[in-house]
Amino acid sequence: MKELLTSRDTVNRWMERYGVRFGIYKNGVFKEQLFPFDAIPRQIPAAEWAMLEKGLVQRVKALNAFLYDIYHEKQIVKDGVIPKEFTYESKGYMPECEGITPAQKIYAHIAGIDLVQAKNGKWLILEDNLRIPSGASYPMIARTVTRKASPQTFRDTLVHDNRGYSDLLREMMDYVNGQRGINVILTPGRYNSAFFEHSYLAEKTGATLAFPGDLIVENGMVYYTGLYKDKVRVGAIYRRVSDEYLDPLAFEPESLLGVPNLMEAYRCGTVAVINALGNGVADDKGIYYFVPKMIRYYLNEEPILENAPTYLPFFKEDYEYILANIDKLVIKDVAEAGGYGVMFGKDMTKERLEEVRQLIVKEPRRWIAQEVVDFIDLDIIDESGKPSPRKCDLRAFVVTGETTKVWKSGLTRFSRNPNSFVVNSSQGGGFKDTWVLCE
Amino acid sequence: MEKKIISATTANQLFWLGRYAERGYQMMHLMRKAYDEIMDVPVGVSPYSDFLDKMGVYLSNGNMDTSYQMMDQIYDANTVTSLHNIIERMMDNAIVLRSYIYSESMSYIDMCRDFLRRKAEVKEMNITELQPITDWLLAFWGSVRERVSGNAYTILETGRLVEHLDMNIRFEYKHHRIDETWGRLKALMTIEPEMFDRVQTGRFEMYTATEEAFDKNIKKYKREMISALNGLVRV
Repeated sequence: MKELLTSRDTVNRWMERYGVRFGIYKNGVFKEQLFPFDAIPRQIPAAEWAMLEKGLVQRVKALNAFLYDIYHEKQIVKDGVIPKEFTYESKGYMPECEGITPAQKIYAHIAGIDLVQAKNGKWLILEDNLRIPSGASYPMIARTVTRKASPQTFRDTLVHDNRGYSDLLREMMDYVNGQRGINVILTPGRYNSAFFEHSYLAEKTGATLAFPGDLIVENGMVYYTGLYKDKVRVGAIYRRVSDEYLDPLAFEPESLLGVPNLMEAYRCGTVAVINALGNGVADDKGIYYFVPKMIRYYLNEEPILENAPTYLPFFKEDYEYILANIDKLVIKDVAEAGGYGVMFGKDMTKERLEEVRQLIVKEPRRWIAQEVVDFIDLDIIDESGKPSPRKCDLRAFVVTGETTKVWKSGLTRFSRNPNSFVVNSSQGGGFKDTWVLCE
Repeated sequence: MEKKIISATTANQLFWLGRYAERGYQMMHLMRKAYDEIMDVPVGVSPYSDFLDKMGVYLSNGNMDTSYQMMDQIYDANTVTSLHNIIERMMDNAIVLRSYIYSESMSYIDMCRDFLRRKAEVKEMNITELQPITDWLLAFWGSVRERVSGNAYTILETGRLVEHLDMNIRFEYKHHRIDETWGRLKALMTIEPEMFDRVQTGRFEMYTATEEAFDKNIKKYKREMISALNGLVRV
């Protein structure tokens, strides 16, 4: 490990060489910047990982069951487990997906589950990202680079190799594709903040990277168009384009990023879309509250992993608690992601607290409140070259194809500001590799 | 050879990546040559003017000092023929082609871009300090030959050869140099015949068929030769 830490400059040079960047818009101007990488890995012992793995598989199975149910029988709503206000009024709910069964009945093919570890060692779920969770490519390439920079470290420590993520993806794509055509990764283009990941995953999985305009739908089937009227059928699309921009004829008419009539092909079942359309209903921060109930309802099991303590102002008791304790809680807008719409009561002025209180009173369904989890700090090497503690979370990736598997690694994000809990890359955070130890 | 379906946009990007990578390489070579010649000409006479003229660059300020002309030719990203502009355009194409050329090949382009940006900040004027760009461009082509196959390789190589011919004609290289490159390009025409325009192929061949014809045409029909070359590939 010492060798790895002293190879910091070598590692950073290699990261730069491979163009490990993400894009960010500041004042409407697109800028690419290197994603700050810290060489001290998060290490998770084998036994702890085994527990996490079970809990994550359980959670994603329940979420997949929920998505199928909500677009078909809606039994969970009928049985009063989840109020209808949290399903059909969710911004992520898409009536267009009613009755559609995606290939192999899978909705959340790639789930990015955000966790934190509390100071007592307990892992808590913070968020479920079931639409377009990003970030897996960064630890993959970080491992490639750190193994080059410090081979001795990896001889001394038995760590699960994380570079097989592309195999997990490819197997899943092949499974839902069912040999109907090629696999493509549909990117909005190079000015998307995660374009590095789109192109890197295309390289590593062997899927074709498709840009807007490359795909067409004819007679209910999707084709990738080549030179001189050449075309080839597409069996699975790992789309990195949001639902609302995916088909201008079905959703946002001004979208230039989508594929006209894709929804028709999807409805006919001639193409698999990864992740499925309409998943937003399950990764709404409001629905997060109900995931433990889903686990009990669909799987008849007790949740292995707990949520961070969460309150819904929709419920009277929670509403009163939130208004009385707003200065101690974290308030989140249910429809936001990427660290946006997150407000810490302790950091707000009296006036701002009052404004937020009024927002909650006006639209209780739009907000959730959470206790501030005092999660553990992990050391990073700071700008002066010394170890310095920072707040870190973990995004675990769960891939569902023929079976549900957890990638033995994950994206550990850290806050670069020592006083901040916000770790998102869009908010200036950095990342670490996540080592799942073999023993 | 593996034939993978490639969209029209991707084909265009591969072709232009090939062209820009070769243009960057040739530019470095020609600038080193001009840099060497500066030493032997009297003050006030700029061998660089001839270089710019051949590149088709019109200077609004004809009295500019040679060193300013060179600096602009290297670092002014707004000048289309500048090295900086060429490297940035090369990167623009490469960045969307990672899955075709692979991260290893792309890394050489990334390094060229980052290196030149850093040199632009200090306006490094010693051309020998820019040698890594030539080295990385050669490494890029080596990596491409090692890793890229099928039609993606054919399109990249076509771009490289077209640019090679373009620069050689602009700088009035000897017939045997043109003929050799043209022979390689014609070999690619047999692999991807749809990619080449027959009329422009015929035009170019007419100008360059023999040494005698070429020597006569290079003075009189240089622009037409370049025009035929630039209309040759249909991507």
